[in-house]
Amino acid sequence: MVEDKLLIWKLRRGSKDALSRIYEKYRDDMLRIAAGLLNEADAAEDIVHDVFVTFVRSAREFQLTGSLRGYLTTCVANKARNLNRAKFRQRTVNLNETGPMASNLKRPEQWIIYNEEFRQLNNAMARLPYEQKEAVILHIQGRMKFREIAQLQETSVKTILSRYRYGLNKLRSILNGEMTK
Amino acid sequence: MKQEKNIKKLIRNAPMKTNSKVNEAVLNSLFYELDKSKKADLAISRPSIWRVVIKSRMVKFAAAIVIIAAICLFFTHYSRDRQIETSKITQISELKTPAKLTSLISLNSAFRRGGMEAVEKQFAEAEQKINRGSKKCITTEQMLCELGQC
Repeated sequence: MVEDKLLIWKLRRGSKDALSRIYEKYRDDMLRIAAGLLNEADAAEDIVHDVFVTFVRSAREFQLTGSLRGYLTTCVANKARNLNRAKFRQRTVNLNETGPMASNLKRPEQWIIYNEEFRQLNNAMARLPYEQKEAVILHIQGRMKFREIAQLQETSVKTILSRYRYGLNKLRSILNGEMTK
Repeated sequence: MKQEKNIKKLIRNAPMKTNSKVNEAVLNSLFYELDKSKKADLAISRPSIWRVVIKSRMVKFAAAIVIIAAICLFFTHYSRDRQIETSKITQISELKTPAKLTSLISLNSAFRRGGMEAVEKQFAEAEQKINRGSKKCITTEQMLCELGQC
């Protein structure tokens, strides 16, 4: 916490070392969260890149009130939710009528290198409803409190708790089912 | 059967690697953004002060008063410095004869005024005056001859 405040103080004075330290510290966690929320490597990479760029652009006026992890996690979660909403609107078009999706195209360089365990976990996550998935990921990976997640999702803490519990149970049953196959 | 604890552990420590080349490229793009925001900040901050001065009538008056006061202060300070310098010069040149310059009282006052540096200056001036007074310089050999040693 103190280290983060110091890093932000340095960043506001234009320190590149502070920026690279923040980036190294939170890069992997943010990628994990984005990948878990979106189940698409390309979209997750774009979102994390966007979040860091926005953070750097607003660094001069940035005032850290909570934790930096919480701030970045909230940014990633908001952007992921917006993207999901946009995709949901686009779903009205028949899939047979559309061409191949951007995420299916092979890119020259990929940021996230998936291994089997991570892919398995993400596939299981993809089968959860978005709200449950968000509650599980933000609490476990983002280390956010239920109260903070409730503020983000604009619901009560009880609802978030039940979403988290349902999500975790469903995830357990999916993973156990895959293990027994 | 996977326990809740294990699932939490799996989610938290999901093994994930990143491409180091892309990492570097992203970091470079962030550095570029940082430089850009620095330049933009400088560009914004420069005219903002000027705009504040120009837009408000009160600030305009205040700025004008500050500038005039600064100029007055500079001139008064500068003229006072010059006065002190000239008075020092006249103080030294007032003591005209070398004998007066090297007298105990004048040396004492010089020491009080400016320490050993002032005393040395006074000595140097006395020496100059002695040399100016004698039309030709006497060498050591000439002096010995005059004393009947050669």
